Amino acid sequence: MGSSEGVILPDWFLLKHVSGLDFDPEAWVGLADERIERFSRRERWLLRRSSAVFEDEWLLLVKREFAGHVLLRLAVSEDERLASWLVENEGDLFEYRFRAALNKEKLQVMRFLFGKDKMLSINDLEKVLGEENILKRFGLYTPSRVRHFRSGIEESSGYVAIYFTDVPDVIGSKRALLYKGWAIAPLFVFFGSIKRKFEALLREKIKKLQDRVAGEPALQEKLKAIRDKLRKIAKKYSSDFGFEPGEIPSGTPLFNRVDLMPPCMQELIMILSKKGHLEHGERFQLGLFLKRLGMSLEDQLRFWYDQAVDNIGLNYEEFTRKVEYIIRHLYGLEGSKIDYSPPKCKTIAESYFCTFAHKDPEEVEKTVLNMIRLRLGEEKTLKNYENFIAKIKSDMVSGKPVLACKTAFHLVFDKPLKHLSHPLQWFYQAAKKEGLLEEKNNKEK
Amino acid sequence: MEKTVNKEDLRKFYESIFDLKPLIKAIGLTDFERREFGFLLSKDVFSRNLSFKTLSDFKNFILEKLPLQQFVGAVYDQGPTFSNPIQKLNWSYREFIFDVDLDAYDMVRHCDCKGSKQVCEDCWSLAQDAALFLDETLRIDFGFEDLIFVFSGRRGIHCWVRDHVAKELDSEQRSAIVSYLTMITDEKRSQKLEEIPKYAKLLRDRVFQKIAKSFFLNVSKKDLNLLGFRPEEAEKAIEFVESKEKFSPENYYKTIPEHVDPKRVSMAIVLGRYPRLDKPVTSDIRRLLRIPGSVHSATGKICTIIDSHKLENFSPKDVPTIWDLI
Repeated sequence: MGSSEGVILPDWFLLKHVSGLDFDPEAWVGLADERIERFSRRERWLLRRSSAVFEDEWLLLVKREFAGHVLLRLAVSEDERLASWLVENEGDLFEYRFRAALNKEKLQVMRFLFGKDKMLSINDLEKVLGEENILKRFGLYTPSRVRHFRSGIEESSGYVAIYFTDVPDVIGSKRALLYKGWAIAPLFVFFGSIKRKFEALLREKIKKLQDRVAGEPALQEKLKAIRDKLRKIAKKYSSDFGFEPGEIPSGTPLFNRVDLMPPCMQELIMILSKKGHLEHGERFQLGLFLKRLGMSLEDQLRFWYDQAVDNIGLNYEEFTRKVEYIIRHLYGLEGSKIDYSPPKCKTIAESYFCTFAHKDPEEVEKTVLNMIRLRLGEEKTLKNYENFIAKIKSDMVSGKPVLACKTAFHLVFDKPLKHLSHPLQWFYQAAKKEGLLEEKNNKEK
Repeated sequence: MEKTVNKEDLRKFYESIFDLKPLIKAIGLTDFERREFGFLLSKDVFSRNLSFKTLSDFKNFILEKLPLQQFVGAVYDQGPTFSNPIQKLNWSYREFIFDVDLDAYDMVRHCDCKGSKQVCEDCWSLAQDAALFLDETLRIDFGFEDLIFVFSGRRGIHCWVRDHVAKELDSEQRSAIVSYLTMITDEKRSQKLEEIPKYAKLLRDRVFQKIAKSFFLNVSKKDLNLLGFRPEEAEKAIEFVESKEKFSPENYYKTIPEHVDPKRVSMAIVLGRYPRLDKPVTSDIRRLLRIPGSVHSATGKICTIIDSHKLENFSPKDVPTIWDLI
């Protein structure tokens, strides 16, 4: 299907240029609709050509896929929240396809995302640095081919090198060998960075469409129906995770209910009150979570001021002037003006602070006891306490932080949690258990 | 009573002694007019969002205001002013900065040097270790080449990375690098230790080479006994390390007797000697940092560029004070 910037890209990769795609919003509405439906069902699908499909049929299928996607990009371009919804869904779909792709395709996509000069095979790295046997010299094993049994797809555990500026998460977590600015690791180590890069590029492309849509009232009108539909779906999707600002019941400000927050947020608040500051990513994680719980910009400024020890000697006005930019950024009012959503559990476990991914399993009991004390006003051992704790620890050791978190919810709230993929989902279920959402549910009825 | 820097001292210093070369070495002259400066004008008055068209304007300002402390920040698309502060401007670049402050070692400093001003040779060796470790890591792991080290004038060392790619790093990238270099968090309270990295092999090896060697050269036999070394083993271990000019991870493992828990020893090494970096200084792209060549008004010492080949021999005691110079 052609190439982008000299790299031959696979057909499932939605950032590639597709030739022969004549823009036809009316004809594409149905395709966009179909895509929305699939996303709303959390469906993830592959785009892979089987030998039984003729070339023409295949090209048509690919064009339909791109047409639906492109129309959605246009539809969300003027609404930051919808854009975030689309980027997140397309990001998940991309990740699913990327993981299932052949190694050759993976490398092509990575070369496109990072640029050919910033993503190198080990052979190329050796040429660039003028050195030999880099892997051997640093005691890294040579590439071997492994089988991905579940999907039957062959993957390679081969190493690649990516320039450090593009993979801050891998650098910060020391998951790669770093040599002369190159992060060297098996390809799978970079999965998180690859997805983030895809999402950043898609976000950029959507942003560039803003002016085009704004300048064409006729197109805006055509996109309205899709946008309305998207708003409904995005709202439903978002309320699965928690609340939309309009849905938060009046009365008790929910953001004050630390006892209902998931362990990661409880701990971040605790760290903040002890140390007076959080790391950049942790601040982002907590700030966005509080925003989505309905905390206003003003309240949030007050919150950080009250907690910070860095503000000694500063009055509120001075503090506001200093940190206002950062907080306004969280609310999509500064910088790239993106109304960011709080990160999902998976992203938190990969790049932010997750109690069950980043704490020592031996220390986690203290956290759980503290949650119980917050909820019940005293530290006490609940029913089947020992079993729950053992399960939490075992899930942590086997690298299943979300399962451990679900078990913690079950223990603390005496209620099993069916799904958990977002910290707001924890809060939503906890608030429900507390009866805080009755008013809203009754109104709906 | 402790001597304090007064305006008359400063006037004499700025008129005839103050040298702009260290500042120019750190920031260059390109984009000087778009660079932010900040000054402590008196004990309670701090002023930032200042920029100067030329070096002469800068010098004239200094002579007129006689600031107690001088700081330099990032480059923006325009020179910051009071009416056009940095919050309204687009950030262009900033040298990549690290700050090692002995304050962060208070919980492991065995000498009596606690508090803000005191530094002795023992605890200064911690800052030296950090600077040497930083120098090697930034050059070998990240490939940076243009580094300068600066004595802050009190109890710390600043490292300025001036490579083009380093200057343009955003806050997230800077935070990631400082996280890569961090193995102790919450240094002033719980001193939580990270596991020695498995995959960042060069960093790991450096811990067992540089930091471990320094640990054994500075540790007391009594402290080694507490880690499980028998008296004769402690003596032997120290002698062994002293005899190795080039200390390797293999040498390190030979130093630990079989019955001693290696994890306990490695934790003591990291806790005792591993660099403690001030994270916010590194990740904040708009941060102001003391100007090399200026006076630290709390000590009267000059903020001095250290020859990177002489890091090991540098001592704050040899740095002149404003009173020595005027």
